[in-house]
Amino acid sequence: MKKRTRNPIAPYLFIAPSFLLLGVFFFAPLVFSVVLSFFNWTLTGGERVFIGLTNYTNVLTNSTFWISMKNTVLYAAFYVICINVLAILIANGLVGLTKRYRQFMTAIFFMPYVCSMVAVTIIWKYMYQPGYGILNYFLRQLGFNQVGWLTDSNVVIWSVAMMSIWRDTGFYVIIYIAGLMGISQTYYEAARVDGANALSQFRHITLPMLTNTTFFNSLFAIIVALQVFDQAWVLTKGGPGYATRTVVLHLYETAFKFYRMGEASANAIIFFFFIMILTAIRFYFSKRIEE
Amino acid sequence: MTTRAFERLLRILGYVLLTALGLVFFFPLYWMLVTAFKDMSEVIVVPPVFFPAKPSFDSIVAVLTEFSFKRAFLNSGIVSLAVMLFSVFNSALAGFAFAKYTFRGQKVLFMLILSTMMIPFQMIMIPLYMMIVGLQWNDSYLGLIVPSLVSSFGIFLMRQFMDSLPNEMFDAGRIDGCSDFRLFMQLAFPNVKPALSALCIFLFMFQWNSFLWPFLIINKNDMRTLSLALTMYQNMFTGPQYNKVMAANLIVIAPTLLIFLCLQRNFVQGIALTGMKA
Repeated sequence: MKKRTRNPIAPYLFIAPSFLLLGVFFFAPLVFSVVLSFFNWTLTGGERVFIGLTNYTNVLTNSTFWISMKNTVLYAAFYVICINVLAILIANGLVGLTKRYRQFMTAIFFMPYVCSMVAVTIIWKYMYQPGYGILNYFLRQLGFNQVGWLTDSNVVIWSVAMMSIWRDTGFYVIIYIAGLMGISQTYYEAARVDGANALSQFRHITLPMLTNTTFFNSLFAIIVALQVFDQAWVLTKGGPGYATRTVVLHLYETAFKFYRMGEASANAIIFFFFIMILTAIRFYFSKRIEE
Repeated sequence: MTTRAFERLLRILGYVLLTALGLVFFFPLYWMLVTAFKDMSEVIVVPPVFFPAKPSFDSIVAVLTEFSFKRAFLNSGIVSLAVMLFSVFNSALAGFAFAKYTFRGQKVLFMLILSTMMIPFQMIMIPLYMMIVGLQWNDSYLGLIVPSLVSSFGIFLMRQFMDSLPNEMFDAGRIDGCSDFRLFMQLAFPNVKPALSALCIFLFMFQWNSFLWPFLIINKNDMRTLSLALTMYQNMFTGPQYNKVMAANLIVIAPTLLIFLCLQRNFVQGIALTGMKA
C-alpha cells in the first residue's frame, strides 16, 4: 500500500532531475539518432538532404557490415555459452566450501571484473605475444605448436573472447551463487534418502532450479557481448584484416573515421533492433515463467 | 565403490579442480604484478622469468613521473567521484519517489527509466557526441560527467530497496510533521546503506573503467582519463617495454582492486540482489 502524499508535488520534484538530464542527454539524442538515419549527414560538408532509407540500404549491402555481424555473433555465442558453463560449475564448487575459503576463492574469480577492460586487454596482449608470450611458452612446454593468438585470422576472435570470458566470469558466478542459495535444502535431502548420488542431484535438482538464473544470465551476457568494443579495439583494432571487427567497431569507423553520421545512425538502429528482439524474447519468457 | 566413497572422491576432485581453476584465473594478474617489477632484460626473455631476480620499483616510478599519468589519474578520479556522488544521491531520491509515493503517470515514467537500460549506448552515442561537441564540452570535465549523471540501474536498484522499507516509519514521520524531503533524508536514505554502498562502488568502478565515451570526446593530452592514457601508453614505446606497461596497468587497477577487497561483501551483495530481483 503506497502512501498518500500531503504534498502532491513532492514525488515529481524528486524525479525531476533524473528526467531533465535523461531528456537532454538520452531521449533527445535518441530521437535525433532516428532523424539522422534518414539524412545524408556527414561532418565533412556536403548537402544534408533527406534521403529516406538510403542509409539503411547502404549499411545492409556493405559486405564489411556483414563480416562484422558474423564476427560479433560468433563471439557472443561463444562468450555466452562458455561463461555460463564455467560460472555454473564454479558457483557449484564454491557453494560447497567453508566460509573463509569460499570468500577467498570468490574474490579470486571476481577480481578480474573490477579491472578496467583496457588494462585486462593489455595484460593479455602481452601474454598472447608469439615469441615471448607466456601462453605460447606453456603450449610449447606441453609439446603443442605455438598459436598465432593475435596474428591468425581464424584464432584472433577467440582470443578476444577468451579474454572477455576471463574477466567477466566472476560476475555471473556471483549471480549463480545467489540462485543456488535459493534452492531449498530439502530437495537434496529427499534425493539423498532416495539414494541419488551427487551427479544425479546436480542434473535433476540443481540445474532445473537454476533455469531462471541461467536465463537471466544468458540474456544479460548476450546483450553485453554483442556490444563488444573496448577489447577488440585495444587488442587488434579490428584486425588482422577484418577478423575482429565487431559491429560497434564498424559503427565507430563509419562515424569517426569516415564521418558518415547518417549512415552510422542507421547502422546503430539496425543493431538496436537486433538486440531488442533478443530482449523482447527475454521479457516474454520471464513473464511466462512468473505465471 | 560405494556411493559414499564415490561422493567423497568427487568432492576431492571438485576441490582440486576448483583450486586449479582459481590458479589459472589468478595467473594473468600475477603475471602483470610480477612483470611490473622486472628489469627490462627479464621482460621478453625465453624461458620467461616467473619471479624477478631483483624486483625493482623503477618501472612504477617511471610511469608515475614520465608521462601525464598523474593528470590522467586526477581526471579519472574527479569524474568518477563526481558521477558517483551525484548519481547515488539522485538514484536514491528518485527511487524513493517511485517506491513510496503514488502519483499520476508513475508507471509510465518508471517504464521510461527501465527502457533506458535496454537501449544500448551506441544508439545515442553519435548524436550525443555531436551535441557535446556543439556545446564545446569535448575535452572537458563537463562532457565526461554530465551525460553520465543519471543511472537508471541505480534508480531501479534504489526503488527495490526503498520498497522494502516499512510504511509505518514514514507514517510516523508524517504525523510528526516532517516535510517530504526530510522523510527522505532522515528516514529513507540512512536505512538503505548497504544498497547505497554497493551502488557507490558500482558507479565509481564503471566510470573509472569507462573507455568508449572518453575515447570519443577527449583529444587533449591533459584531459585524458586513465583508460585512454593506458591505451596511449602502450603505443608509446618503440620496443616491448612491458615492465613499464604492466606497471601502468597496476596503477590503474590498484584503486578498484583495493576498494573491492575492502568492501567485498557489499559488492557481492549488490550483484546478487541484481540477479535475484531480475
